[in-house]
Amino acid sequence: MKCKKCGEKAVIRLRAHNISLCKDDFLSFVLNSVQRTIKKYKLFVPGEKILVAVSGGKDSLALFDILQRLGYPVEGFYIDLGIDGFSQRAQEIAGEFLAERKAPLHLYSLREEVRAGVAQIASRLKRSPCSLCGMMRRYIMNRFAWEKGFSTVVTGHNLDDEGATLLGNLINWQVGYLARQSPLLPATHPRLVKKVKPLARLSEREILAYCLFRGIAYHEERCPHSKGATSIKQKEVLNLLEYHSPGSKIRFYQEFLKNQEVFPGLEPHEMRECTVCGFPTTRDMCQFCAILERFRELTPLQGQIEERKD
Amino acid sequence: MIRVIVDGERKQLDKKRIRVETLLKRLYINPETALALRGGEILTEDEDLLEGDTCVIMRTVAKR
Ligand code: SF4
Ligand SMILES: [Zn+2]
Ligand SMILES: [Zn+2]
Repeated sequence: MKCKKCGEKAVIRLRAHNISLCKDDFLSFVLNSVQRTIKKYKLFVPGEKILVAVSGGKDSLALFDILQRLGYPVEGFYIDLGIDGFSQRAQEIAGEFLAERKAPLHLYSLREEVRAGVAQIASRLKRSPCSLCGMMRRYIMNRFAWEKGFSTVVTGHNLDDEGATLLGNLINWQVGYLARQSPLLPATHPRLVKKVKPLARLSEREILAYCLFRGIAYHEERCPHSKGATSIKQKEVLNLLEYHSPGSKIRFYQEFLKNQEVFPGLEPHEMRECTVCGFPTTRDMCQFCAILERFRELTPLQGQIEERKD
Repeated sequence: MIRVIVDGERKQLDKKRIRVETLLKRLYINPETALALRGGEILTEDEDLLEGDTCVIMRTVAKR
């Protein structure tokens, strides 16, 4: 197999694009793809402060590497939700990666705020960790970025993630979500920062290859709560289609974005300020504060127990 | 013999030569969700693994 660009020996075949590439041309392909997504969806404005959510996994570390190479002034943010046997190693890897790149890494620890990890909170509230995790991460990212003066939060969602979300939203006909799903979620309130996904047009396999070629040492373990997740099944379905009809995934997502106006969306809810934290919500109290309040009610001795342990 | 490591599990193939594409098919692995490596180098699906080779298959969604 020869590289379509230079004719040298190819090291990777990208069936979705009907090309094979050598290492150097593949690395340029990835950088160009991200730069195109940034330009097309106007993800960044010149001079803005950019906060990248780094989990230690391949997507977020590849994202950080790519944005740095493209010359964007990025800083990292690691959210420690206190997942036993997982969060600590992930944080170490993210820390080592950013130290190597001489980039600042900001840290948040849920245990410092609540004296409990997400699984402990979820079990007390009789919910699954995953049902709280995404909401908490989004809240914490937004609050931190806003307080520190970042105008954009960047996440490593890739084409497989976005395709799975799109499929899930279609299966459930979540018209409101369908109207909003995009590589760019603008700030719709003074206390909300913009959220962007520059990897949205790169497949998970392309990102894995990018990490291997660049020698990026990422956290390979998966979260212990991810077993049986619906999103994994949705990705499998899309990848099966991709196998039989190369290019399906990117078409599914890109054509959706082109035709998104067919989903009119729902009337925007009136935004209020959370009575506890002041961040925008549609209710009296935002979901994050409501969860923490409920947890504290159910765990009146939490503080004392933890203190005695210390 | 060709050695294969997939999802942390070691397998042995009693073969002198096998194409990467054929190997993935045999293991029921969708090539869109995996990369095959030999000595740390990524292999394209038309390459052959030969007797004595060790192939590591990295998956995008780990099964472990
Ligand atoms: S599987 Fe994902 S969503 Fe669920 S707890 Fe783990 S990191 Fe959070
Ligand atoms: Zn080339
Ligand atoms: Zn609040």
